[in-house]
Amino acid sequence: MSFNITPQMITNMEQAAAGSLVAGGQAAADYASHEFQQFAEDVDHIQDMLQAGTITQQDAQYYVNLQKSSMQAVLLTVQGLGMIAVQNAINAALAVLTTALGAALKVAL
Amino acid sequence: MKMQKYLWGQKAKSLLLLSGLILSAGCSSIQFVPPYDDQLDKDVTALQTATETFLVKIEREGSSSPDDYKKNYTDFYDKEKVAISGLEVRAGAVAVNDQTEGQIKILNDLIGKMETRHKDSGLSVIDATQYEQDLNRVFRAILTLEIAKKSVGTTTNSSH
Repeated sequence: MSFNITPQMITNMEQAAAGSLVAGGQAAADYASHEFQQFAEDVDHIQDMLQAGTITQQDAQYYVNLQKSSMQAVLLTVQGLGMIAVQNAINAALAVLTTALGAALKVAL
Repeated sequence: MKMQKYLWGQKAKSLLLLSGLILSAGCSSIQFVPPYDDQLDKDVTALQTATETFLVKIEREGSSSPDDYKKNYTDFYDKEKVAISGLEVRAGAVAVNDQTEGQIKILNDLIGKMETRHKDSGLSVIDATQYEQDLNRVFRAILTLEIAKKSVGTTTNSSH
């Protein structure tokens, strides 16, 4: 029995990891982009209401603070999506290694 | 004799290395984020529906005074608090669930602020609209992350 980490195996591990990273990174970027755009529009609307005299300065500050609080939840999701992407990338690379090792040992790992 | 000892030593090292590889590859997954929790997904969705129903009603009625809060809405806020407490316990019972726990704290904070405003000065239509935007953003954030966890795995056991 012999087990060698070949250049092909390293390439396979890289490809498996890259696929997960790209997909996860894209999902995080799409989500963040949509939410930041919405946040900008919502704050802009608060500004419009203030200028029109519909709300007071105090109300405007109160509403902006609420927006900022809710955006913290968005940032936590972006962080979580990034962590899922990294986790899936590492696990995809490890799966390639596990398969190769299982084949060399002729056992399922 | 020396040569034989050396060879046995080399074999032992190889076996040790191989055992390490098997162990590390056999347990071949790391976890920074927990698997998808379908019960949490359902509970958050139910809470979003209840909250949205309340806010749409306030918007339709035009406003809600502090008196109205006392007469008609303390029960609503009690139910929200109980539901959020359930979410906190469930999210906190899972390892490496920091992001979801943080999001539920933000949700709790926003509902608490809405209740304080309702109790102290009432809710206007603009207040209700603003809270609708903010709370839905938080609900969306929690659900987006939870659904993304499906790529990690699924937890289907229910605590309810």
